[in-house]
Amino acid sequence: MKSIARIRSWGAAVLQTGTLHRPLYRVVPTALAIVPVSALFGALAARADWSWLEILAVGVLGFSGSGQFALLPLAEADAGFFTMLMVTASINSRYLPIAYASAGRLPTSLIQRAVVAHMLGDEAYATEHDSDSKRAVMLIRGTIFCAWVGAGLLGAVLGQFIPAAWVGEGVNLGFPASVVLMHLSALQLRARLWQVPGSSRTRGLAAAGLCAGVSLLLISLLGPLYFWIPSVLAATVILGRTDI
Amino acid sequence: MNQSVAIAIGALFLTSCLVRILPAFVSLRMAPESRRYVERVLPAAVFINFAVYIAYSELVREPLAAAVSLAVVAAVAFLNALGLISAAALGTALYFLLAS
Repeated sequence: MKSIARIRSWGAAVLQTGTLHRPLYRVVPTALAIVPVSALFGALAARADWSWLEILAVGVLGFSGSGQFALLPLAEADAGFFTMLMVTASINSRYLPIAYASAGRLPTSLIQRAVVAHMLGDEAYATEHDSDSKRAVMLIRGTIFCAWVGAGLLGAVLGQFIPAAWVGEGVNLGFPASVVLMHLSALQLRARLWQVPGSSRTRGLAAAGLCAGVSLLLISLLGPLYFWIPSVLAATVILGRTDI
Repeated sequence: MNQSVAIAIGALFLTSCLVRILPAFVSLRMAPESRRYVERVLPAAVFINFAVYIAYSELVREPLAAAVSLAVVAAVAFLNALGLISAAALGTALYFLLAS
């Protein structure tokens, strides 16, 4: 009861300022876009005999789109802890630089900082702005987190009534989330490469094109799981030599 | 709770501790140039990789539909022509129209 009251007062503190309607307006479409993806996970997990409690726990404690999907077959095959850890760490290694770069936006209190850091995701990072307050960041991450966890449970319930073909490989339910992430990434790149006062747009775009080429090369060499860290580092070096 | 599911949840949570929570508590003293890298260059590098990764993973499944849809959405965002909801609706509709 005490912890519920604490969460309620935290939520009230987050919403008490009137300046939060802008981040809320920004995050709602993003949160809606990930609902089908998480619902799909919930439906597949329920079909693999995961209980509602397990689906809730993996959403809250795991909170990783691709990581959760990757572990479904591994859990069915009774894979060991270190195998699963290697797979999830490889998939989520991209969060290392993102978490470090966005650490300045987090609350200072130890528990809140750890909780909000845990709720970091691709969509949240792309939705946040450098100018966002700590409360805005908590709102953005909390909204996406709750949407993800809730949609997983919803998918588990709906999965019992939906024909198997609807949640099969044939229907790309994850595409709306990809579209949203592409839109947010393009907006961020526009602000960071195109609208920087005093920097050359041509050089910025050329550098971005080179980074994209290197990234594609690394995906083809290392695969889409292991390219993240070397590719982000390479892009950082290339962009660092331009005037952004 | 099923043991293999509990192990999977434990692996995901430990991963989150390592890649999301731990870096949030690491603070380094940085020179202005290093700060520029962390605050401006690194995020741009991450977003370029997001865009390439999304394009790659979707093009593998449906090359034409994904290429047209994602290109339109990226152009719309870059030109700041539509809001997120309209752009997402347009991109998704284009994809499923071309993929069917």
